[in-house]
Amino acid sequence: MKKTKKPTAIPVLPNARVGSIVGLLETLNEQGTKIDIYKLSESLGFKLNDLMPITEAAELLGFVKIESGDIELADLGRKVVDGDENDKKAIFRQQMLASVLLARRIRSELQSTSDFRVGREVILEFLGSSFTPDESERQVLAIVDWARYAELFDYNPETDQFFLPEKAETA
Amino acid sequence: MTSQVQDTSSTAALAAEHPAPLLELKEITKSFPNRIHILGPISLIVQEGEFVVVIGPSGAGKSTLLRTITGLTEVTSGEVLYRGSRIWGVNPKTALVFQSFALFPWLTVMENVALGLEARGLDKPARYARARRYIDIVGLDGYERAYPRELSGGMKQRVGLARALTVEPELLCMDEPFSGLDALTASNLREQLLDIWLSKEIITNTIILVTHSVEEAVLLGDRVLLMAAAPGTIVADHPITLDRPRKRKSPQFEEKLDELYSLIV
Repeated sequence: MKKTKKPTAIPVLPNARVGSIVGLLETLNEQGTKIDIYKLSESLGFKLNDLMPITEAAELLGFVKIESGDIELADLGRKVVDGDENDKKAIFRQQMLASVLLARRIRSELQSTSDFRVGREVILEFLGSSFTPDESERQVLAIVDWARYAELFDYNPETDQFFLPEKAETA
Repeated sequence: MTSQVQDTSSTAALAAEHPAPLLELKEITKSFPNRIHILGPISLIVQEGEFVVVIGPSGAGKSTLLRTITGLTEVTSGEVLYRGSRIWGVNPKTALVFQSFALFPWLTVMENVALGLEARGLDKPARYARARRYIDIVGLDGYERAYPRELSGGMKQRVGLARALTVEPELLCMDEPFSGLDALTASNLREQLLDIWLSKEIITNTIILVTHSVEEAVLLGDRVLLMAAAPGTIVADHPITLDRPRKRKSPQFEEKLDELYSLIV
């Protein structure tokens, strides 16, 4: 039986690891010009379906331009490649807050609590309005990876809580 | 000012008179107790600051070579010299990173990295401070409290690298560190390894890396050693003098690739 989903209000976060996104940008930088996504997947030994979430994530964050099947490094993407680790993180942080609704939501939830901690269930409930339970779990997994890299917030799997590391340590 | 310059040049002259390379292998061989001869004789000199890549078919003894260099395996005959001195047992100035790094699933990233320091007699705050530094260097800050199950393959490999770097080895040996990773993750990690190697902030400035990818060898190495099997010996020692950063698409890169492929065939 197919579940009919409610109309999606929260945009889907592509399931792509930070390491793969940065790797894509470096590969495109080496490439130098725009390239057909299909050709890129062949040359990398990726299935197109596995590469798509990574290109989508890079596009969402404003690091690449995708047009009629071609992908090209955007100026911001070049800044990620050229920057050191701290520059990379700062750009990720800025872009996540600008373009990723879920990141903004979790960050503001955290800032509105007294102990800078928010239970996983609060976020799952929020996601539940747009996603199936399975997909909600995947969204949490993806956002935690990005957020840890960007040092936007952290997640403790032992207590099932999101937290702001710099605050929770002293709290 | 002038006298200082003279001082350094005279020290350099002294060093040049008595050159003790970082690593020297003298006619080393390795046989198993059942007398199967698997490695050598191999003679090799590695200077401080070099990035040496070892390629060759499986069974050529590439991993055994790394294990003898780090002192994890005893040679059957010959000598392993480190800065001119013979090393007995595991060399504390070296560290080895494997393809699949064993991380303890019940420990966080921080705890896994700090673990390598327990044998070094540092107290916990000192261990954690040092571990944190190398977690930053490999680009894992933010993930200190994450557990291995939450990490991708590339990030687990970074934890392995951080664990090796925290013991502050002068010589880092890496056994196919990128071969279990997808192309994008590997590309990202290679760039970072080069940044670390070129960085003046960390002690580790000499790397010996084993790979089966000729392209990876040309991307990374100052020098490529080609091994042949049965028994494992070095059959070619080939310099790679391309400027960095190296571009895969450049004609010079292609030329070097062709050169190495022709040596292999």
